[in-house]
Amino acid sequence: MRLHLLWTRLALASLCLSPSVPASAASVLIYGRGEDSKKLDPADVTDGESVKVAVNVFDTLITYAEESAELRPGLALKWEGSRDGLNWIFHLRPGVRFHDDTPFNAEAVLFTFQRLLDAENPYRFGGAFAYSPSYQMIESVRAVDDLTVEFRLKYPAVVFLPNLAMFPASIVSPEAVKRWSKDFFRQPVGTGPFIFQTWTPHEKLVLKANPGYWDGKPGVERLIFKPVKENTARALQLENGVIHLMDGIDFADVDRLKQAAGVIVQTAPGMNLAYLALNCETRPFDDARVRRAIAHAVHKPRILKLAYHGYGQAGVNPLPPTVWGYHAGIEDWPYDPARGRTLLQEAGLAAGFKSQLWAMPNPRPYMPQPKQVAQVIKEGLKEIGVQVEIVSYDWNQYLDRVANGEHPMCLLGWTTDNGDPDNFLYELLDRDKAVKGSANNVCFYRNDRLHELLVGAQREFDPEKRRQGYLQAQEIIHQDVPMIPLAYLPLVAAHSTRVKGFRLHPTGVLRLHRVRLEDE
Amino acid sequence: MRRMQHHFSGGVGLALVTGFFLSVLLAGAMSPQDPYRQEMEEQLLPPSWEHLLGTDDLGRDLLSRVLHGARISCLIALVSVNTALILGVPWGLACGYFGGRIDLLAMRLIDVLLAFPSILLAILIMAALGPSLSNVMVAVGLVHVPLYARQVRASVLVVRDLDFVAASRAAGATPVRVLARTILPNVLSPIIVLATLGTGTAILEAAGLSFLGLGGEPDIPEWGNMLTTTRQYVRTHPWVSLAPGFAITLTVLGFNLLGDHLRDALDPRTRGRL
Repeated sequence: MRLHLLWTRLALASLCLSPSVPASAASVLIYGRGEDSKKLDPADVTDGESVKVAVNVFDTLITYAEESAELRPGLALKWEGSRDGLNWIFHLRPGVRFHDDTPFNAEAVLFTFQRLLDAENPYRFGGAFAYSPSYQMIESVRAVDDLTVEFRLKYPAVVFLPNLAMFPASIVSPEAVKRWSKDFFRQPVGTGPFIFQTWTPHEKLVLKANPGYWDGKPGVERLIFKPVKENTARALQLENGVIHLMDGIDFADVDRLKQAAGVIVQTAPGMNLAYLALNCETRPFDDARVRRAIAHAVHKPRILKLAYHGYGQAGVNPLPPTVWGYHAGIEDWPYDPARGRTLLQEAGLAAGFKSQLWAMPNPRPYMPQPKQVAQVIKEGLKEIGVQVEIVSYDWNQYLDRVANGEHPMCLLGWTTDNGDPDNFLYELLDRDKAVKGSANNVCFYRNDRLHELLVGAQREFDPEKRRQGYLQAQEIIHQDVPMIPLAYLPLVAAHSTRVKGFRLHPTGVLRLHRVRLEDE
Repeated sequence: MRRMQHHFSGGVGLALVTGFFLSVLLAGAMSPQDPYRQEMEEQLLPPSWEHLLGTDDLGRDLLSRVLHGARISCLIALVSVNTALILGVPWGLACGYFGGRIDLLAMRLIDVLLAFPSILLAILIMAALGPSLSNVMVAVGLVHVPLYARQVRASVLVVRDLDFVAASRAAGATPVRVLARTILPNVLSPIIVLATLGTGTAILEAAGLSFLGLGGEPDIPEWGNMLTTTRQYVRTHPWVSLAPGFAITLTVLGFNLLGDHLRDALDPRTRGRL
């Protein structure tokens, strides 16, 4: 009884003491994710965690519709192309200012693209930009007047407009790039809905609302990106209200989270791919028979069951069926260790061999449990006499080393930037993208016939002919097995019931502009 | 009463340690399954007659993995305790016997090493060596060197000036002979106690390093490794973490109880009372 009284008094006292929280102070949205960003210079990033932040700080000339990969006006109000598709005029949005209060104009667009296209540009820091080849169709950019820009292309290219909607083409503040130079990746300045404030690596990254944003003031005052490595720890923080919104949910946890009070789980079909890359430059993976033997030893249903808890779909092609141009007619190499051993024998490796299998240290949207996937693959490879050691590095180091081609086999994945098949096939398997140090083609696969098809498709305006090109490309890839597609995953995010207006975008782009946070 | 308690806890320790060594010796024979075998249809099964400790997220039998884990832990303990002994004992002997400037310098170095929390020092060494199970063993061993050196030096200081040592010296024995034949046998009992207690600590610290992801490949059934790769299931499927967790706890408890008992049994001041 005494105890009860005491508790009541304490409760009353705390009620009196708790200050009334003003509504605006409450609108700090905390986003929990598996890793920290690597860099924040939109031209110089490839990893999803960096992109998540960049797309909220920067704008592109063209942007996506709210719920599809269709193109909409961004910093450009409208654009028109010449009949031959070689000249494009962009009319820029007037009255937009960068976060450092310098004006957005034709000069800024020029500056951005010169930096992106010219390897000798003095404002290009951190070596080659991985995405520059995606803009190589551009011959020159010219300012017609302060708010009009003309792009001249070397050849007509279908991917020109969709690629302008991708984050590498984000318009950067020329003044800020000049001022911060090498440190720009830590001090990003754009025109986007959020203004960069502070970044304490591995702890938090803080953005604040851009009150003068051209598309309306953001729904929250502040946005904090908080890395929480552990999937379950992150889920627990969401349930306890420490964070409000998160990605990277263990599929084993989805059902439980759906039941949790105050939590909403959202799923949407994704445009992503998880794969096992075989480094075609190193022995013995330079032999297609060895690569196919590996394909016969990878038990995809087992991977999906054990490491994805039954979510997702087994990978067949290097692009998911949600992207147009997917080849539905290709039959996957079946799990068949006997066939695998025969192929190794033909390649003169009857006794098998030793190798390394690299696995990401942390969950990725396309692969929530890389180490479990690696273990299942390792057991399968034993069946054909291939003994692998599972190797892992810190995420930044992992990306650098993989882009440098130091791996024999590695796990990796891809989330689309623009929903176009080019963004998977050209990005991940074209020889243009196999440049050591900035490679996205981490299979280091160089096939001239494939290159011809992919570049041809980039210049083909007839959608059906383009589709045919991609179908042929997928057949070549299927025969050559530079990579083993493992899975396509639905997108999953969870948020507190206080979060309103959040929708998963099929491209995986994280847009937090319209997200609001209701009072408790 | 006190004596009985001591005998009891010593007995429990001995039983636990015996159990540990039994699973080390008989892991192959006692394991119902290959500890690496993954079964697609047996993911995260709770304990049952078929799988006494249940299965993990990749459908592997946890009992088999825990039993094989004992072998790895035993190897870790052997290598790391021996590393610590081989480096620490001569160090302590030399410091205690010769004294003077060598002692001063060598012991200050030991003090510096002891100032670090042991797990931090081990992580530091691991950072230099790179993550792998064998490096974990070396790191844990190196971290323990100062403990042995200090203990041995203290014991040597006690016996150094006793008559039988002086006699041995007077008989013309070289310092090495004096240390090895006369002094070492007389400081052996604290070393045995320390090594027994150190075994438990070594297993615990190695598991800690593996838990931090420094223990090499994720499929190795090392207990710390098993904990770290399955800790996301703690709330939903607790048995996957309980199995390796209890294995670590019971083993370390066993070595600690046994070590305490040995200390009391070998301590000349308490020997008579036991």
